[in-house]
Amino acid sequence: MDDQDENDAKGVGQNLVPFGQFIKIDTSRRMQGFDNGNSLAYDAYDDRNKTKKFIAIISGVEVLPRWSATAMYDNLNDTSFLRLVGSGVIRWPADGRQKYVFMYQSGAGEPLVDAKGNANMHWRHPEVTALLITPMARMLKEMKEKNFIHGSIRAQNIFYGSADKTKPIVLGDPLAVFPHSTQKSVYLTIDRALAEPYGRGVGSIADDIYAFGVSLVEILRKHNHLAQMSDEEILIRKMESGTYSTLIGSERFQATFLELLRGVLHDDAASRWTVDDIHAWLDGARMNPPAMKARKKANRPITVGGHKHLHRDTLALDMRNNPDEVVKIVENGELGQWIQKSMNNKNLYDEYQRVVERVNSLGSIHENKDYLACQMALVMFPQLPITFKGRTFTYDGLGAMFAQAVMGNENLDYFRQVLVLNIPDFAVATSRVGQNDLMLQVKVFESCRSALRSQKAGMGLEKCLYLLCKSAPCLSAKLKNFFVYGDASALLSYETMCKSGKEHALLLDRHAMAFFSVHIPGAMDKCVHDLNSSDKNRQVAGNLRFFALMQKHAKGKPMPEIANVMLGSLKGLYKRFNNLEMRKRIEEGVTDAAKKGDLAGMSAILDDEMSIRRDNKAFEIAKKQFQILQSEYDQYNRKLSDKKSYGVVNGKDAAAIVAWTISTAITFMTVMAFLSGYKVF
Amino acid sequence: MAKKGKKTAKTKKAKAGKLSAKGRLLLIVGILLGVVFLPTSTLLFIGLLPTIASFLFSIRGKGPRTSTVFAMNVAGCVPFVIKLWSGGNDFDAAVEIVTNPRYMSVIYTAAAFGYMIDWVVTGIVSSYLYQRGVSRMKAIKNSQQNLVKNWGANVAGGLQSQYEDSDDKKKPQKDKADQ
Repeated sequence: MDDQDENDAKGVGQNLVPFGQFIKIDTSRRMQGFDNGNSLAYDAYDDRNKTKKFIAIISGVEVLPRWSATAMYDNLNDTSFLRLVGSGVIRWPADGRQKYVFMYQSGAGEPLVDAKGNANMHWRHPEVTALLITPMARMLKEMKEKNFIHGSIRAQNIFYGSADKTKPIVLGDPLAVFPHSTQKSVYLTIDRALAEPYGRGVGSIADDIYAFGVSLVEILRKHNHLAQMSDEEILIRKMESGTYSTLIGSERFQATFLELLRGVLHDDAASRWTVDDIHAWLDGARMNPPAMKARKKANRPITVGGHKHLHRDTLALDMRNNPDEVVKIVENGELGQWIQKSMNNKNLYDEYQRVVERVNSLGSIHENKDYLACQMALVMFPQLPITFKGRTFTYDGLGAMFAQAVMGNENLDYFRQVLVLNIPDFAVATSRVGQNDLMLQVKVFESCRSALRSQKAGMGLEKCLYLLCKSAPCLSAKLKNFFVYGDASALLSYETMCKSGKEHALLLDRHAMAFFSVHIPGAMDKCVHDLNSSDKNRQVAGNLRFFALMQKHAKGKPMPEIANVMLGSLKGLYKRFNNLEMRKRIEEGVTDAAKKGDLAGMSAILDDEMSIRRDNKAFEIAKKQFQILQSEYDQYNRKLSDKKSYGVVNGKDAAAIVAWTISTAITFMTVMAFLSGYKVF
Repeated sequence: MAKKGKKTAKTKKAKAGKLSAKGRLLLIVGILLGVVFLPTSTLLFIGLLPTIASFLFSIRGKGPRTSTVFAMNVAGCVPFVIKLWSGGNDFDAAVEIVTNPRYMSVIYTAAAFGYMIDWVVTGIVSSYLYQRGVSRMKAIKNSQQNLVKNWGANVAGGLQSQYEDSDDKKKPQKDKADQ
C-alpha cells in the first residue's frame, strides 16, 4: 500500500486520494463520528464497486499511530471489532506530507453517545446485556488472549452494529492514535489521568476494562452530574471517594449493572474485575465486588503545598509539585517523624530512608530536589505516575512523550536525566506489573543507558527514543515529510527524496540509523561499523550496503534514484580495488546495476570479499616485483653513471683472451715453420 | 681483536714492500736461470721491455693489461729465440739480434699490436656492455610502467609520487572530460 507516488501519477481527482490499487478516499466527505483525536475519518470506496464503502482514518506522524500493532489487530476475529481491510502510507494532498491510513470496512451505525456526551440509546436491560456488554466482554477476552491493548474504549467510540440498532455494538478504531492519548481524563485510571496525554503509556487490559466501565456509565446514565466538574475535580474526587462512587453518584442503575460497574471501576487494578469475572457475571454468577480499601489516616497532618495532609496519597500529589518543601521536611526530619509516628508505618519509613540514602549518594539534597520529590512521591503513593521536573508520565509512557518532544524540537536532555537517574526503573519496580513484564521493561531501560554511553551514530538518545517507543516512525529531520516505519516505506521515501537531485550518498543520519538499528537490527548490524567510520568512503559503503539489504529484505522494486545518488559517490570505493582493469570492470558493473536500480547488485559487486582479497594479494606481489625491478634499475643506474669505466674490466679480459689466442697461433706457426725447415728470419 | 688487526696490518706491509719467501725463491731461481741461459735471457729482457714497461707503468684498471701486451710481445720474441737457439746460442748472437733494428722493430711491433688489441677489444666490449645495460634499464622502466598501468601509482610504494606526477599530467584532460 506504499506506492503512493505511482498513485499520484495516476491523476486522481483533487478530492480523491488513492489507497492501494482500487480504493479511493474522498477527502470532501468527513465521517466525524469515527474520528479518533486528531486522526480524522473520511469516506472511502472501492473504485470497481462504489457501493463498497470504507472508513479511512488518517494519522499524521505527530499522533504516533500504532502501525506496529496492525498485524495484532488484524488477528482479532470478533465481529464487533471494526474490520481492518488495509493500512499503509499515502501522500495527503492538504499538506503534501505522508500520512498513515487505517482503512476499515464501513457498515457500523452511529455512536452510542454523541460528541457532547449525550447518550441516545433506548435499549432495555436485556438488550444492553446482549448487544453491548456481551460483545464487549467477548472482545476484551480476545484482546487479553492476543495481548492487544485497545486504549480508545470510550462511549463515543462504540457504535451501533447497524442503522436499525438491532445488532451488537461495534468497537471503534484503536490504531489511529497512541493508546489512551485521546481519552478524556474520566476514562483513565487515576495514575494515567495524572500523566501527560502521550505519557500515559500503553497500559494493560485492566485499563481497557476500566474504560469499558466508564463507557457503560456514560451510556446508561440519565443525567450527567459530572458535567459541571473539571477533569481535575473529577480526579480528586476519584482519589478521595473512588471512581465508582464518583461516577455513579446519585444516578439510579439496575442493581445487576451496579454489581458489574463496582467490579470494573475498582481503582486498584489488582482488585478490579478481570475479563473472566465479567464473563462469570454474564453467566449469572453472583459476585461480590471487592470493597474499596480504607485509606489509612495519619494522627496529625503534615503541610505541603499549602495543604494539610492526613493521607499519604494526597500528600504524594502535592509533593510532586513542591520539591523545595519536600527538601525542607526531609532535612528537618518532619516527614520521617510523620511516617513513623503519625502513620505508624515501618515499611514506609524504611522506603523513605532508602530514598534519602539514594539522594544523598548523588550529592547535595538541594541539587537533587526534583529527584527527591519524584522518588518520595512514588514511595508515598506507588500508583502515581512519575513526576520529574514538572512533567508527568508512566514508566511505559516515557517513549511516546520522548517522541513528542523530538517532534516539538524540545531540549532532550530531560530524557537523558530521567534515564541516567534510573527514574523509570524505580517506578516500574514499585508498580504491580508481573515479573516478566518488569524484567522486560528494566531490560529496555538498561539498553537505553547502554546506548547513552555510546557517542556512535545509531546510539545515544536517538536509539533510546526508538527503544522506548516502538510505534514511533523514523523522526529524522531529513524524513519530516515522510512516514517511514519499515524497510519498504523507507526505500520508497528515500527514492522520492533522491528524485530532487539534492541528496548525497550519506542518506542515513543519526535518527535513521537509530531507528533502523531498533527495527531492522540485522541489516544495521552489518553496516554500523562502516557507518561510524571517519572515512567517508566507508560511510558511503555502509549506506549502500544498508539500502541494498533493505531492498533485498523488502523484496522491493528497483530504486534507480537512490542508485543514481549512490553512484555519484562511489569513486573512492572503486579505489578499494588496486587492479585498474578490475576497477574499470567493477565500475562498469556497478553502473549497469545502478541503471537498473539494483542496489543489492551494486553492493554485491563492491562488497565481493573474495575479489577484494584476491586483488590485494596480487597487488602485494606486484609491489614486491616493482621493488625488485627498482633495485636492479638502481644498480644499473649506479654502474652506468661512469660510462668510461663501465665494462672496461670485461673488455680487458676479452682483449687478453684475443691476444693470447693470436699469440698462441703465431707461436705455433713459427714453431711449425721452423720444424718444417722454413726460415722466418 | 687487537691481535687480529695487527696481523692484518703486517701482511699488508709485507705485500706492499717485501716479497714473500716463495717470491724470493722464484726471484733467485729466475736470476740463476738468467745467468745460466744468459743469451736467451738477454734477448728476452730486451725484447720484453714493452711488457715490463706495461707492468711498471700501468695503473690498476687503467692502461693496457700486461698479460695482453705480454702475449703479443712473446709472440714477437718467439721467432728470434728459435733463431738464437738454432744458431750459436751465445751472448754475441743474442747481442746481434737485439742490436738489429729490423728484428727489434718486429718484436716491438708485435708488442704494439698487443696494446692495440687491448685498446680496440676493450672499447668494443665495454661499449657493447654499456648499451646492454642501458637496454636493460629501459626494459626495467617498461616493466615498472606496465605495473603502474595495471595497478596504479600505489604499486611504486616509496616512489609513488614520481608516478603520481605522471598521472597528474593526465588529470586536466580527465577533468575536462568530466565537465
